[in-house]
Order: sequence, then structure tokens, then C-alpha cells
Amino acid sequence: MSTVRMPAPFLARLLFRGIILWVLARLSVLALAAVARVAGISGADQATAPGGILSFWAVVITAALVLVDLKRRNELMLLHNLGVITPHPVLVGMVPALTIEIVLSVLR
Amino acid sequence: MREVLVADCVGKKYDDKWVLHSASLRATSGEVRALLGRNGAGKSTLFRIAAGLLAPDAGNVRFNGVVRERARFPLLAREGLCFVPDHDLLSTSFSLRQQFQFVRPGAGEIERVADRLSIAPFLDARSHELSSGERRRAEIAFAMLRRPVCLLADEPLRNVAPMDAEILLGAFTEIADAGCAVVITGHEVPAILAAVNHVTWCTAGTTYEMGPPFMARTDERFVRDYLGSRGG
Repeated sequence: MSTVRMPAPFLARLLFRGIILWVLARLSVLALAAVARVAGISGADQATAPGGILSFWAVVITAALVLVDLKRRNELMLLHNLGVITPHPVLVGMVPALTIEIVLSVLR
Repeated sequence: MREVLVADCVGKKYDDKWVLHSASLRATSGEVRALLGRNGAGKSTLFRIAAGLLAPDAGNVRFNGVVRERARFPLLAREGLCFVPDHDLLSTSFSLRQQFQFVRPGAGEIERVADRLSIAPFLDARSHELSSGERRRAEIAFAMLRRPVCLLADEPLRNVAPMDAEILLGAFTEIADAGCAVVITGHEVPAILAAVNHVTWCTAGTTYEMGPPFMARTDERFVRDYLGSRGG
């Protein structure tokens, strides 16, 4: 039968999109943190630092954005037809976010 | 001929209301079958259950001889099931040729299938650049290149010109002739009845095996409740 592995061009495209979506997720998380700071919520500064709780949320939001993006581009059913289950492309799309957040927390 | 896919005595309820009860769908290798029914009769629900996209509340799905209480589409796809939904199947990010290459076709196979489905001039275009008829032909080309053991196509003739419908129905016959079990749905009754080997009628949440198209056309209830006075 046909391939079960995700096609290589798809992998490359997902990793690239993952970077862009991580930037969007990070910006939205930072915006929320800025609002929290203005509102005087304690711990906002600490939370926005790499490795903080907002790093976790940046990765989670990136995963959600990857899923939405796959649906928007009609790619989920295409991948399903290739035997690829939904978590697979979402995890691939999360890889850049996870890597960058880990690197940033190490460099902190 | 063998039964590749059997959705047996399937039931589905939403908010305690059964929308399907004791409905069955069979796909047999080498045959093109039609699942016909009025809007809201439950045929799309039955189709999605058979494809493993929806969990049934009763009954089961048997694919390649193995009974699955909860069939999941990507896992069935690995075993040769192909599902063409009623909306876009192909990605808007890749050209048709790139997407066809995902199924690792043999040398020259893409060009052969593209010629067969009259999409050769669009191989380097993306799906959103095509008309609905061209897009539908491209989706069936993808299905053809996959060489599935069972193909389920939900309303493949919707919004396509008669010429496109003729090409698509010819492609389904060709896919079935290669040993695949094909099931299609739709409301383009004259064209569908002229092309399929067997009709299953879905009405009021259950199904009836009508047999070959000529048998369906002579069934009084089918004619009265589905085809209408003009006979489809």
C-alpha cells in the first residue's frame, strides 16, 4: 500500500510554518503579559521570561495554530488519506517552538 | 468479488435521537455502488461512519475482513481505504503534481492519470486556482494514483458540468475495473444510475439494497419516495 510516512516536502513546510506560528504565539503571549503587567498582576515579569509558564503557553498556542492552519489549507484530510494521524503533523509543527523555547531558557 | 468494506447494522444518535438505525453499506471489489437518498436521510452520516470518520452508537465496520468497533480513518487508509469528501481534498499550498507525488506513483503514472482525467495542463497549478470541475477531477486523480482497495467518494458530481461528470464516472469504472471497491453518493440520478452496478437506498435513517439500477428504477417505493414523478 501507499506510504504511511509524512512526505518530506510536507515535513519541511510544517517546520517552516511552525517558526512563523511560534512568532505569532509568542507575540500574543507577550501582549497578554504586557496587559497583566499594566494591570499590576504580580509575577508577570517572571512569567514572560524564557522557561516560564508563558513559554509553555507559547508552545501550546503554537500547536493549536498549527492545527487550525492545517484545516484552513485542507491538509488534514489529505494527510489522513496518506495514513498520517492528526497528532503527527501537529507535533512536527510544534518542534520549532519547543526547540526555540528550550534554547532561550538555556541561554537565559 | 469480495466485500471489502461492510458497515453493518449501524446506528447513530444525536441528543437521544437516532438519525441512523440498522443502516448498512457494502463495498464490493470490482463494483461501483451508489448510496442514494434525500437530503437529511442519513447517507453522509453512514458514509462517514463507514470511513471511520465518525463513531457509530450501534453496529460495526468491517474492513478487509477485520471487524472494528471504532474504525479510525487514517488507520484504514494505511490498509487501502481512500475517502474523497464533499469539500476540497487537496491542499492549497502545493501544486497538484507535488501532491500526486506524495503517493509515490510509478514512472509516467502521474501524466497518464492526468491525461485520463483531463487535468494535464493544471499539474503545476494549486487546487484553489482551478474550477470546481477541474478540482474534482484532480481529487479523483489523486484517488486513482493511490491505487486504493476501497474508494468512498461523497457527492463527487456536485457542482460539475455534465462533461466533467462523464469523465469522473468513467474514472470510477476504471478504478473498479482495477479491482477497487467504489461507493459514491450524489443526487445526479440519471448519470449515476447509468454508471453504477448496484444501488443502496438510504431513507429515514435506514438502508435498502435495491440491487442493479434497473431493479431500483422498477421499485415502486424508491420511485415514489426518491425519484419522484419525473423518475430522476
